[in-house]
Amino acid sequence: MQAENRASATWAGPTTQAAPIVVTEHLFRRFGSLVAVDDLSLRVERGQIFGFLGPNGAGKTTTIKMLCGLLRPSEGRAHVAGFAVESQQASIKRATGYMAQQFSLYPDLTVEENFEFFAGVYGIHGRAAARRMDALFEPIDLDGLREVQAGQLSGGMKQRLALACALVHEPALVFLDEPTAGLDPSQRQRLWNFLYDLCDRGTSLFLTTHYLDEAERCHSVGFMLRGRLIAQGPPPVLRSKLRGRMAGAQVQRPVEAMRILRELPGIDDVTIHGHDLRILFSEAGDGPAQAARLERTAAAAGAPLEHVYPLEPTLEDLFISYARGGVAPP
Amino acid sequence: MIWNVYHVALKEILHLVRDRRTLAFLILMPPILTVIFGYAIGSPKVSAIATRVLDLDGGRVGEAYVEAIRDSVAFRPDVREGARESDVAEAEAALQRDEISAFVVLPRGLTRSLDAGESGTVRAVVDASDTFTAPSILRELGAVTVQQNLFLAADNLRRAGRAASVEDGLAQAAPIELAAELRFNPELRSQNFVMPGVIGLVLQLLTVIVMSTSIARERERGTMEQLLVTPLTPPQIFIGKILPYFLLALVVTASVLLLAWLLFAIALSGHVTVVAALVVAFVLGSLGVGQLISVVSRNQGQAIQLAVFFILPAFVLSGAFTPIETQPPNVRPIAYLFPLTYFCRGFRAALLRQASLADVRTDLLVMGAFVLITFGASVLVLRARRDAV
Repeated sequence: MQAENRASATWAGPTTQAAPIVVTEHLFRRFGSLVAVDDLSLRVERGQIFGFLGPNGAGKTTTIKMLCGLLRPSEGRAHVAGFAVESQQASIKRATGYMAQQFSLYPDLTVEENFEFFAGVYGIHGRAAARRMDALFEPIDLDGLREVQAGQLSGGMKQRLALACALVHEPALVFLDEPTAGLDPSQRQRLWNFLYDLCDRGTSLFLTTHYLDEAERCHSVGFMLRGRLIAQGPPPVLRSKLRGRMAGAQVQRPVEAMRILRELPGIDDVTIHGHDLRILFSEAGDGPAQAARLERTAAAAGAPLEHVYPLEPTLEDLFISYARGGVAPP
Repeated sequence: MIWNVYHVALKEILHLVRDRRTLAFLILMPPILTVIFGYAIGSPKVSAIATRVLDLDGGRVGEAYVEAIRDSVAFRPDVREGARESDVAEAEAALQRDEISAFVVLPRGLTRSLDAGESGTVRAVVDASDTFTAPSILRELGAVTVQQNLFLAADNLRRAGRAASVEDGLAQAAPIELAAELRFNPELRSQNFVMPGVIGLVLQLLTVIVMSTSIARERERGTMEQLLVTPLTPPQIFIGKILPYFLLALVVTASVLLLAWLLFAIALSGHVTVVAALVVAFVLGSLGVGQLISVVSRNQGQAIQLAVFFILPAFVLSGAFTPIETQPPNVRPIAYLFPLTYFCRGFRAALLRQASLADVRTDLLVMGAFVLITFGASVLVLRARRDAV
């Protein structure tokens, strides 16, 4: 990880390279009686891709807006790139880039004009701006579209332009609010390659996503639910929380079987995947014995299982169970 | 700082250039409105009022009265000589149908009773639903009646042998002569009064509308957040946004003043400095108001509603077309909430009274205060948004 932090040219705080890029301590944000962010204590390491996960309305965007300086925290402290959110806004703005969830560039300006405007307000003019444009446009295939009005671009191209504009000043940290929303699988793949490339050159990334397969690709993730951070860590560590608690089963009538199994003691959750069920046990057990016990109780309850097999848990399993309350937050 | 303002201004100019239709509208709307308003509001005098005259008298006095009404430009008379009582009911019906605004009845035997030394009554029935026309009718008929009374008095003096002629009789009957001297606008050209109002109104319309949508549009598109995460400060954003519209407003002002000169003979020679100072202060003040409207609005629709809510009362109350003195005293203070009021007052003073910069300094200072207050308030509102609940 030390090796990834070789981009000394980027804006970085007056702290050592090892210091985390984002730290929040007991951060709150209230809107009237609604607590959008509830006692958030988060730590994101430098040089990583951090995935910020959670259902809609969980407080992800509110958190990003507080970290970017668009919203003032109601309570608590936060440091971004080594600068305090409360008092060092100007430094944070230079050290971070922000790509909003909604396309927020000027549709009536061309690709080039949009980029030059954002370059200009970061103090990059003339030849320096042109060099920066060349460097950013080439890897994301925007070179041929410089004269096109941004409003005419497809969703994927808009997203890439927005990303280029957020990176114009070589920030140490980029916030990306759902960068892959609305992209097709190949566009998503290309964007991820670019993000890894960016990370490899020393930029830290803080992104939100709904896609849990994308979450698996992050170095570290945090999961928000109703304003609270309920899990945080690298995906393998988080997945291991469910180790020994998952089993798959083939079944004839999955909908009926799911309904029956959900009522059985010792089973927290059941989901349907085609002809198969994914079953989450309340406690971890040893594979074969647990499987035999499941087959017996299921048959007795009127839902015979054809084939029970062990399953590796995914982040999706974990977060769906968090979201449903099937697993108590730690 | 300068560079940041430059980049925001450049971006705004690009928006304007890309939106050709809006740009054409912004440039053409003011001259067109100036011509329309200049001719339409130029002459507030009522003329050619449809009036029916029923001469039941048929004598000398009735005829003279009818002639006097015919001579007045205020009336478009429909004279019924030899009319009868039944025609009066018909005239009532015509008034009801709104075919005429008034009718005058010269009663049967009017000449005879006056010759017998008695008094007579001329009936005037006036549609008072139009509060602007009705007083004009009464005023004109009053003048005609006074004039006829004088002629009768003079004629009586002549018949009694106390006057050599009717003219001599008139001099005796009306010994007081009014010697009026008109200052500042001796030809009573209404354009001299109205054009400053028209120009102010048109400029206000342009600046407030165009500016009120600027920040609201950024908010609607989500680009405002993108601007606020950059190192741009709110004052830089505001100045950068105002600058192109300020220049546009100056170009438009020049075109409108040129039209006022060509069509309505409003010449600025000798007042250029004063008018230029008034225009700059007024345009900046109006842009500031538009800016503030934009900052407090969530979208362009709201911004336009608020802008209209500001523009319409200013239109009516600022004294642009009707003097502030014609308004009830408890409404008058509202006029002082509009930069338009000070612009019109200062412009008229310059045009008609040869006012100097020192003479209009109050108007300039108040409009300057508008600029500072709206600008400061806009910055505060934008900052407060960060803490929005």
